[in-house]
Amino acid sequence: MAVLPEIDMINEAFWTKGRDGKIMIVQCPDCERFIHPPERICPNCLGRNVAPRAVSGDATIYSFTINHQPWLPDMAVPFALVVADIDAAPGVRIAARFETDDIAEIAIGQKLIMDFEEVEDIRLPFFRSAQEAAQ
Amino acid sequence: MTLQKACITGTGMSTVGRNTMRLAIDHLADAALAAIADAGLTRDDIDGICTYPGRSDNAPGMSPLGVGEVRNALGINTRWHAAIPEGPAQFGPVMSAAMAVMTGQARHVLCFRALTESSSQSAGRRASVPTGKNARVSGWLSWYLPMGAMSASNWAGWIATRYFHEFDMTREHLGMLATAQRENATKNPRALMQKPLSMDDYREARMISSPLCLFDCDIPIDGACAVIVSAGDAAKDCRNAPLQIEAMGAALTGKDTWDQRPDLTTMASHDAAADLWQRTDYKAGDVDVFAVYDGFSIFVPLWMEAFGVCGHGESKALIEEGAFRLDGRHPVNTGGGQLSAGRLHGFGHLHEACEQLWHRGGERQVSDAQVAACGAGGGFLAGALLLVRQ
Ligand SMILES: [Zn+2]
Repeated sequence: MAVLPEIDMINEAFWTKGRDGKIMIVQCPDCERFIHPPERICPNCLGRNVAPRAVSGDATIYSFTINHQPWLPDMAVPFALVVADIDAAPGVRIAARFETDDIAEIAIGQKLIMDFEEVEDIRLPFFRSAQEAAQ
Repeated sequence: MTLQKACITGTGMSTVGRNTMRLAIDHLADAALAAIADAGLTRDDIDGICTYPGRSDNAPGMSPLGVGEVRNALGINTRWHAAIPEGPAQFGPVMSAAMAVMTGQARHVLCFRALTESSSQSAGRRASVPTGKNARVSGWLSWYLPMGAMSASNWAGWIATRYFHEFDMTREHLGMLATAQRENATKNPRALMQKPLSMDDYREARMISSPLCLFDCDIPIDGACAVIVSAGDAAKDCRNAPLQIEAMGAALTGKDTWDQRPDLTTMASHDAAADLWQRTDYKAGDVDVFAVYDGFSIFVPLWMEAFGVCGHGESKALIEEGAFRLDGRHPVNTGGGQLSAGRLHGFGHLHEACEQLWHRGGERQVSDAQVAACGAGGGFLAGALLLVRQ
């Protein structure tokens, strides 16, 4: 049982349009600020021209945790949850699952790529190891 | 016109337990009536009421009572009432009440927090996991729950991992905090956990969300706590020495998220505590007792650094020294905190700070305590209070 986000006009691109390792992050064209979680108005310059833009999901682990507790009846544990800096969108972090063969070797600074899992109408982002993907 | 500062004049707490099978309103009535009597007041003196967050069905047992239910049950007529779901964390109602009595909206405000998270855990629903009633989540939770980060222990785990990485803290340090707080709990008859916790118990405990194990997480309970916030002039007529709310801090920078704060080795606690010190001549060194939010053990060093007890990343040395222990230089969570006394959502901390300032701490009393610093909340939630005995 996945808990899914409620889609609205502001978050729709993020949750439904991720493709090919790229994620839709809202950016303000007036001041170039990336805005995440997405907003309708740029909190930097108050511009209203913000729009989602496909950005490489390549990322770097800022922090992580290994979850050992099944919070829902059918939750398989353990699994890794990372907070990762999106390399191409300064200031933006994404918190998501990290699917890796080697949960014990996860480290801050580790390089990630983004993948997506389709659940109902959502394309749910998760990370993979850049190194494992290159092998 | 100088506004006269508000005071805390009475506190009350129900018996705190697990699976009590008692109604939330029974816990609440025990706490509220005890607090009113403690202040030397009667129900008819209470003309304001405030709570956090208000009635909520979002997570099981997290907030079964709003001001409406409590007004109705206790037959209280009010000149001012409010529930504060968005504000300086669990101290929102206390700060709002302080402003209400300072501006003459009320004289004596009943602030309360009731939880039945223990007995509400059933059918696979866990306390503090905001699965809600709807199939889909919105708001800030929607950036974590769908990603698999269902629990605050995951979000606190990120903070802990980063803090460990930057400052070479280890699980041993958190273990020292958890075991010391348990020791305090064994001297607090109200505390849920009365059995000592050894470092071996801590080391062997099952992991919840690394690096946080079972004993780094607070304990869901059934219970209630109430605090009376009174106008400064009215407080003088109450039974106890007034505990003046010398300063309050509620500042918040950045967005309401658990992962976007540029430096995750700090929290909103740092914003709120810094703001508190801007509003008083007291300094961190004047504080006799600290009561800081420990939904997770890692919040304790962050709150202590936020209050300026030591520099950023320097808690480790103080923990090693035993400075945060009951007999240390900066006693913290003297009643056991939420880790050992149970999750009363900040109100337990405030209750214990008042016990200390009224010198009712018994075996765990900090000698001649006059000034207490209290911090509530973790992540982007924070409220800070400085209490001074008059
Ligand atoms: Zn802009």
